[in-house]
Amino acid sequence: MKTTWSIGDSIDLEYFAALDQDTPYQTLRERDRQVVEEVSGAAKEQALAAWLQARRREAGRATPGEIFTSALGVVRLFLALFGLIFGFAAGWGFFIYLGQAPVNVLYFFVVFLLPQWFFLLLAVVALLPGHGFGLYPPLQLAGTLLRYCYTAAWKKLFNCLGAEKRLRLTAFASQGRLFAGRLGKVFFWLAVSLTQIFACAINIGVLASALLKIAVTDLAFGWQSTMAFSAEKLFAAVRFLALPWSWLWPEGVGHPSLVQIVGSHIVLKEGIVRLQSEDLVSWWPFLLLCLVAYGLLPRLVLWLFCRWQGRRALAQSLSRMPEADELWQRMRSPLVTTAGLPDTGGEIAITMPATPRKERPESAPARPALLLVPAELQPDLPKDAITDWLARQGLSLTALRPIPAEYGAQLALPAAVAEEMKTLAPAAALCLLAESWLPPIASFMELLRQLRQAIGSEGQIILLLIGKGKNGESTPAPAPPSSALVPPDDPVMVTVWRQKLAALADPALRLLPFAAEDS
Amino acid sequence: MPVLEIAVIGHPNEGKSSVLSTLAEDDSVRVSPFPGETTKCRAFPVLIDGREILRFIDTPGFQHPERLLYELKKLAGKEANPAEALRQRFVSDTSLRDDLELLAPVARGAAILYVADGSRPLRQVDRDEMEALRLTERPRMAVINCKDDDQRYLEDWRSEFRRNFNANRMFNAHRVTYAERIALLDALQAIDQEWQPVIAEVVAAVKKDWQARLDTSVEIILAMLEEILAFRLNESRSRLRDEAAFMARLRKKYCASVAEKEKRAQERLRDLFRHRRFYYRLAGHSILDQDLFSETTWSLLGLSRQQLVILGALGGAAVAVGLDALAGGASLGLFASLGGVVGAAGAWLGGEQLVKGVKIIGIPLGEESLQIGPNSNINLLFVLMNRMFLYFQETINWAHGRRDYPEAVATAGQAGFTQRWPAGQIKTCRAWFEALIHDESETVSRLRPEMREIIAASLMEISR
Repeated sequence: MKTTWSIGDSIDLEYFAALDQDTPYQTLRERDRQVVEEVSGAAKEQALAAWLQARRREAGRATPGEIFTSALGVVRLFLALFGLIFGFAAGWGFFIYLGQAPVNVLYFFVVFLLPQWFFLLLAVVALLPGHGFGLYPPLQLAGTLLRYCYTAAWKKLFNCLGAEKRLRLTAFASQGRLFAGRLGKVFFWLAVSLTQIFACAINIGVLASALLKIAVTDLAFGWQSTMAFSAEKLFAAVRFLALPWSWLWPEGVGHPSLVQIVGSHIVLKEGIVRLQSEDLVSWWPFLLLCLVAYGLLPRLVLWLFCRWQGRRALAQSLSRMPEADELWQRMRSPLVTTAGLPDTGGEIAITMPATPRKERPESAPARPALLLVPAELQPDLPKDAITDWLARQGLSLTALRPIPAEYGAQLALPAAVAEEMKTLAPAAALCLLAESWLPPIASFMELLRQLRQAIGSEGQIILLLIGKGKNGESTPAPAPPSSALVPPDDPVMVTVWRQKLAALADPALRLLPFAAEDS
Repeated sequence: MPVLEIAVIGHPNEGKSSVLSTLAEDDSVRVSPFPGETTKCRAFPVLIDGREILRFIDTPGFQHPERLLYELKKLAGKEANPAEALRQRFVSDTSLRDDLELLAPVARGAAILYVADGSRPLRQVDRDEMEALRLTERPRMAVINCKDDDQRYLEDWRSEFRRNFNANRMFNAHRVTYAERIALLDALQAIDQEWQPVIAEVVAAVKKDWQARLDTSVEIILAMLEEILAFRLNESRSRLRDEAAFMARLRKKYCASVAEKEKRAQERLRDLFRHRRFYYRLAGHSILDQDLFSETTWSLLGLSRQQLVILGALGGAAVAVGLDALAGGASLGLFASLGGVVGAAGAWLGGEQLVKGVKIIGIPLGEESLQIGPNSNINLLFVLMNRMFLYFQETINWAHGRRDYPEAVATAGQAGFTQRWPAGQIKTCRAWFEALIHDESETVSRLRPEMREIIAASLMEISR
């Protein structure tokens, strides 16, 4: 299937998912379902692309993805133009013959081909699976040193910061890692392909200038060397290099013959008067074909390879984005409403409401959810309120388990949860209830990590955040837990929880604070 | 004898650092609404004459209370120092870094001051922390630091504290006054009988230090009043220059100098009470822009109607005019006369009535030279005194653990501190003021001890 998905789309998907973070689930469902109806029968990528188009229209201004795509176009154009000008200027300066010193073909190799081969080799080594650079001990050592310096600097910086900045920085770094995990490869291949565009443009520039010079000026080529370097050896090398095209353009056309090579040997002491013009011009087709075959073509091949790899990485990145899965799930779940129609005084209304989607759906295909609750909250937990809340998130509360208070018992929890999750449907979610006013301490974060390890990287974990409620009119009011769910009281603590979770760099972990409209 | 240590311990974000910041009068402590601000123990030594006799230790919050309790239970009864044994056992476990760090002073033998936010529900993690601390077998006391005014959970906390601590006490690190700070220090004596003499010495030293600070505050206020009330400003003027503009500039300069002197005195008070971050900013002389003869203004000045009559009877022409004006319901805008100006300044002062009624202080020094000040209006004395009393009150009662610094505060609406002063004190003020503006240094010196006593009594009352 041809994919139309682009990096800009991935960026925008992340952007819109971040914007949707605090939007009630029901609103999202209604909105997303409407989009999929417009592109019914479309595959995932196309449906997501249509959804993005709809969101972009709604946004009414350039989105980060669109800005990125435009900027990328400009960068590509700039690199191509700059490469062309650079190559053309280099070629124009190199191919100069004033009747005294013919252009030295060996210089041509040193200036135009050897550096390219060197950089090409570096690129190939870098692209080798398992990081080719790691094969070389000096580079490995440099890498270790760099890592050490980076870690030390990071630690020093970290200790100087206050809690808020530390928290924000950790969350930011983790999100960066997560982003790199999802789109890192895509960007890597994009960067390599951009360098290939630049290299191709340079080669085209050199070719253009050389052709122009050959067409409008009188150029002569020769070779010279201080070393005892026989013409036969040079001929053998030339014949070897010309192998790719010798079937089409044989000796004398595609590359100089031995006689022509001998005839273009420059010995400064003897001058160039004795050399034949035919021999001196016999080199140019060979040189240009070398540039095409060993400069331009490998870059073109590498560019195509990078594009192919980039597209593959992009397709994989989409499957690594839980936001995309969640969105796709929302788009595919039909909205089912069973709300009673307004009382029409005995008559049964048979007409559908004009805007059926605006009706509040009471049931929809829901994913099963296992809820973990701190043991001390379980006895007085308002189960109905929780069930309703989860239902509005497209989840059906299947089982409720306590998080044991004792450390020893807590150790066994992840394995038991993993076992139970296996018995539920594959799309089951694991929910944890937490109180927003208690700061997320390390032991809780470790529990989350252990649960993730136990249930695998795919299963969604949702952290349900509730508050303690304001001081009532009658003071002192009954002690908690209360009989109803209450939204988090302090927005600072919600931010703390959000950033702490972000620091886990877990793409399938979601924070769901109880909202006033949920009650 | 080793220095006694008290480690301030608790769950993250319960206000440990705020409590310590307030207790130690050190506002350099990092305090924020984000948990995890403290990552290393920090010592706050209590020095008496350069000798360290007590040390408070700020610690990071618990990160693994359940696990600590679990491990301490295993060690309890087997080890003489369970906290140290636990530290030794898990020294290489980086995940327990914060917990081991907070146990370090406890392992060294520090007493425990457990801080909890009583405005939130008590949870199992809190019980685990308290139980773990009990297992360390160190003397301990609990402090309830309510972060908001939710009282619903206080009784739960108190009853849990009674089970685990030798004593407990309320201490709002953000609202606590000096007196409550002393009370907490006093209460620390209950932490351990052996510690009583040391804590008592600290409390006595803190009380003495406080008295010394009050005495210094009196001197600062008196010095400022003397400086401002006797202040004169001389300026030369070219004949060619616009007279009105010159007068305006002169007046502005005078006002700026008065404000600067007042600010300097406030800063001295602020340093005296060890505030480095907090700066209580009174709005400019807001009261000075108002009609000084309205009843509201009297009350803002801290003078009752009766006091004003006393001042008027004592011979202040300005006040007499004020009373006349009040009777007629007219607004004269007398305070435009701040710093009477000589020469052809009648119109500038705001009208004929004013010029007729007010005896303007100020002597022409020649055709080209003008003098502004000293101010002949006794109201300035009361404005300045009340502003300084207000500043003093806010500064001494601003807890060092607070970080919600206020914007500039206008004096309007504040009740005057001088309002209840008896007639005798008002008369002394009047006499001292007259002597100051007329440069009668002998009378000023003679009345100074009385003025000192009047101000000291007010400061004492405010600080109670």
